[in-house]
Amino acid sequence: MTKKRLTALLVTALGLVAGPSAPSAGQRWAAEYYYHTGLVCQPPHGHAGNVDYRENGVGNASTSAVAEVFCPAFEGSDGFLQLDWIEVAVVDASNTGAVSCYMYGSDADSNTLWSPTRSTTTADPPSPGWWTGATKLLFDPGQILQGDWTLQRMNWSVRCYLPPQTANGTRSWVKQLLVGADDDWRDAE
Amino acid sequence: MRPIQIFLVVAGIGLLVTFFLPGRGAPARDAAPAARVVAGSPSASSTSAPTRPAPDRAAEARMPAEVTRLSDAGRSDDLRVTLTARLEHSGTTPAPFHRDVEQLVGGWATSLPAELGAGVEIGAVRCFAAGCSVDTVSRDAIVNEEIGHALSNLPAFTQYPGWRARTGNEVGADGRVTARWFFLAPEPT
Repeated sequence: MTKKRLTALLVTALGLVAGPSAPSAGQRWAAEYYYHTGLVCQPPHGHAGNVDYRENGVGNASTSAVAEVFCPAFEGSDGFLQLDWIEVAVVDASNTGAVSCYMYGSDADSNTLWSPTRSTTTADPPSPGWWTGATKLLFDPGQILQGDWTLQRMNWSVRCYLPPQTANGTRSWVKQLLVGADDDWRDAE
Repeated sequence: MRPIQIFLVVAGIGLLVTFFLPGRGAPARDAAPAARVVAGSPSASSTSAPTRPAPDRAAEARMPAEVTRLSDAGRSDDLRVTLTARLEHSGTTPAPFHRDVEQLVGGWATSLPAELGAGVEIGAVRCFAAGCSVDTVSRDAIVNEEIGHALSNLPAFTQYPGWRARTGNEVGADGRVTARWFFLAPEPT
């Protein structure tokens, strides 16, 4: 093999090995990405009077009470697409409280999983391209869904607690949910 | 051609191939992932040209055995078996969170409303290096559901710093329903 051909082979191989658009630092990879507006969130009994919906999500309009919302994030199925992680974009306008959320999964047999609670007081650093003004709360079920064990028929949601609005009327919000999912069977081939 | 010209041509081809290969692109607000698809969720944002076809059941049936096995392993009724095995295989090394779980579960009996508390038996806590588990036996499936809701909404439960899980309805011959609760070791901070 000539030097020229060797060089060509090497350069082509390098191009392929480098791979297409590898994730930047701080960004999480997934085969599929789903974006949900905070408008999907629903208040439980007793909180409907406090929550307020705007174009950019769901917020707490109460001046005194914490508002709760449940936000559906990923629907289970018999297919091969599995949830990898959820990132919740929240706005914490409170000086005294904090926005906190946990993710959970449940199925029709009442099997349920709950994540540790994440709060804006100990938030994850924003990824490149993260929404301006929003704080990222990251949920990764990797600890409980180890290896190839997954729960196909589990529906995944997020429950968030929003502090009361401030004296000058600024509100805390759930703006958006970003869900990463993957095809396990592809990796098994 | 001179070697430098060959190098540039081949490098260009390598970059083009890399650019157009479907890949593991990270999400970015201004550069949408090529594979972003929304399926089965009316609340999710949508793209005009989904790249994922509908599930091909016939193709799934033709999948290799190891792929099918991976899929079957994901049934949610494996939750109890999988997590119990994981805990038991982790060893019995004492850990500080063991006491936290014992205190948390110790408060359950007095935290339940009297009529609910009368319908459930709370078993002994078993702790391992990877987590703790405890069984609750309810009078019937409806009581089991109510108890599951009540216990999982206690502040001590929601504030536990690790993943938690509860198995679904395991109905005995006498109609009583057993649920197993898991408290995984807190995630490292």
